[in-house]
Amino acid sequence: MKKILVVDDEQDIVDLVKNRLEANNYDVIFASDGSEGIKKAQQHKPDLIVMDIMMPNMPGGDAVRILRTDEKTKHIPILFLTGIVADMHKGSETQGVNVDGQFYAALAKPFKAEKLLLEIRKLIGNE
Amino acid sequence: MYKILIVEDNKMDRNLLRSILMKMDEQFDIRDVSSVRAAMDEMKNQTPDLILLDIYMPDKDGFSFLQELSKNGHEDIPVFLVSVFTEKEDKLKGFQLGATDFINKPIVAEELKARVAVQYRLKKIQEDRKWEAKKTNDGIKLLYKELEIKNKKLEQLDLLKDEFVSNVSHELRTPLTIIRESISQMGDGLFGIVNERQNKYLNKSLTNIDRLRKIIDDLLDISKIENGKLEIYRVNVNMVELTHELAANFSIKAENKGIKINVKNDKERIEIFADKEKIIQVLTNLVGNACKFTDKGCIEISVVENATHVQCSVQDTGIGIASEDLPQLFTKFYQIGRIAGPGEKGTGLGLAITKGIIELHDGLINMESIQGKGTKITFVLPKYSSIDERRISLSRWFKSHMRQYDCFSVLYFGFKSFDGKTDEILRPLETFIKNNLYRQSDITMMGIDAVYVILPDTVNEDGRAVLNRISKIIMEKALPDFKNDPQNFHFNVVTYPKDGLIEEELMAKLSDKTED
Repeated sequence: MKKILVVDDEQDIVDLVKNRLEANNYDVIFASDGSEGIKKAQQHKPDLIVMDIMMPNMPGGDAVRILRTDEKTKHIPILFLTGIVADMHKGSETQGVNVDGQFYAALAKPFKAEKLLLEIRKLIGNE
Repeated sequence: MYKILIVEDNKMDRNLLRSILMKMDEQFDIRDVSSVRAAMDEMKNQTPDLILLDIYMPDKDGFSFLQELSKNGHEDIPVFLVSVFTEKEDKLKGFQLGATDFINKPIVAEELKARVAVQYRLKKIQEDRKWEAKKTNDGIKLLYKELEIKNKKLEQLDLLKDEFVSNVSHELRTPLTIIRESISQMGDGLFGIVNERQNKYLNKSLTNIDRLRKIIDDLLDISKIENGKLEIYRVNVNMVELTHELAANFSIKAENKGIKINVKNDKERIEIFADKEKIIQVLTNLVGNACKFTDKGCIEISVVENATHVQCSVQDTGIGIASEDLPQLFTKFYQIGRIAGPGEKGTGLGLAITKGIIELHDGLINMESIQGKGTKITFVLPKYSSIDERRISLSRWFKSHMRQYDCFSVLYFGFKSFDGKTDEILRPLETFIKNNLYRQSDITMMGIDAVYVILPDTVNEDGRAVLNRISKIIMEKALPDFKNDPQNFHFNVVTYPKDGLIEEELMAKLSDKTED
C-alpha cells in the first residue's frame, strides 16, 4: 500500500482527506503544521505528501523548501492544496505552484474528490 | 515704508523737496543724494519706490541715469524729472527714456504732493494685488496637499479592498472544503448506506456548494479585473483545437436538450498568443450561455483569421435578448431570463468577466441578438508576436509596481549583443536568478534580451548588493555562455523613483551599455 502524508492545520480537512484516501486503499499519516510535517516525512518517508499552503508558523512553501534540501525527503512528490487561487500559476485548478522556480502540482479548495484522487494517481499511481 | 530717493545737486532744492514730502499725510522713508554716482551707490543698498531726479547735474545728467535704470532692470521704478523745462524736446526725451512724470521748477508744493500721492496709491494697489495672488497661490498649494493625502488614502483603500476580497475568498474556501468533502463522502457511502432520497438531497447540496465556489471564483476574478490586477500569461494557443474541445465538453448537455453544436473553421491551425486558461474561461462562458438559453436548433462556434486578428463567434438559435437589454449585458450582476431553466442560474458575472478578459488581451467583444431568433457573440483578438507581448508584459509589470510601492529597485541581467536564443539562454538564466532570490516578493520577468528582477521596497545600495551577489554567482556557476564571453554580459540596477519616474526612463537607464 502506498503511504501518503497529509499536512493541514485544519483538523477537519485532515480527517476528511484521510477518510477518502483510506477508502481508496492508501495508508495515511498526518501532521498539523509544517515542522511536524517535515519530521514525519523524514521519519516515515511517505510516497506522497499532500500539503496545505497557508499554515501558521511554517507555510507549505517553506516546508517544501526544507524537504527539498534533505536527501531523505527530496524525492518525495508533493501535491499542494490551496485556498489562495492567486498562488496558482495560470489560475488553473491543477497547473501548479511555484516554489523556487520549480512547479508543484496543486489543487484548489474546495476540491472534488475525483480530482484529488486523479491527481494522486498521476503522481504515484494506484493503491 | 514707501521709499523716495531724491537726486538733486542743489542743496536748497533738495531740502525743499524733502520738506514738502514730509508735510504729506503718508509716511515716507526719504533719502537724498547730490549726484548720479551717489544715486547709483544708494540704489545698491536699497531700491526706492519713487525717484525724484534732477536732469542737469554736474557729473552725469539725469537722462543717462534713466538709461542706467533701464539697463539694471529698474525701469519699473517711477521717476519724476525735476527741472526747469525750457525745451519741449527735453520732456519728450525724458518720456522716451522711461520717465514717469515732470515737476517744473520752481516747485509748486501742491502739485508735487498730488503727483507723489498718485504714485503712492498705485504702489499700494500693486502690492494688494500681489498679496491676493500669493493668497490664491497658497490656497492652491493647500488644495494640492489635500488632494495628495486623499489620493494616498484612496490607494490604501484600494489595496485593502483588494486584500479583503482575497482574504474573504480564502476564508470561505476552508469551510466549503469541509462541507463538500463531508457531504460527498456521506453520499459515497463512506459512513454507511444512504438511501435514494438521502442521496438526492446530498447531491443537491453538492451542486450548490459548487455554485458557491463558482461565485467566489467569479467575485475574485471580477475584483481583480476591476483593480487591474488580473494577470495574463500568454502562450501559443490553437483556437481551432480549443473550440473543438469546448464543443466536446458541452456535447452531452447539448444532446440532452436536443440541440447540436458545430464548429466552423477553414484552417487546421489558427494560432493566437494568449492566456489559454482565460480563453477557455471565455469560451466556456459563451458556449455555456448559448446552451442555457437555447432549447432547439443549434449552436455554432466559428474561428477565422486575417492578417492582423483572429475572430471567434458563438451563435445560437435560442430565445434571444431584447434590444433594450443588449447594452447592459456586459455589466456586473446584470441578469435576464431568470426563468431560464432548472438549476441553470449563474452569478451574473460571467459576461462581465469575459469582457474583462478579452479587453486585457487588447481585444473587442460584441453581441447581436434578435428576440425569439437567437444570439451571436463575437470577439476579436489582435495577433501579437512574442516580442510585442514581452514588451507589453514588462510595461504592465513596471506600472503595477509603481502603483503598489513607493520605491523599488530593478535589476537587469542582459547582454551587450544578444542573438535571440531566448529559450535556450534567457529562460534558464531566469530560473537560475529566481533560485537565488531570498524574498517571496522579489520577482523576475523575462524581457526581450534580458532578465529583469524587481525588488520591492529596496533602495539603490541594497539593490546593488543583490546585483553583485547574483552576478558573481552567475559568472562562477552558471551557463557556459557567461564563462566563455564574460565581456558580453551586462548587468545594472536602477531604483524607482530615484533614477526615474516613468518606465521608459528606467528601462533606458537599465539597458544603457555605454557606462560599462
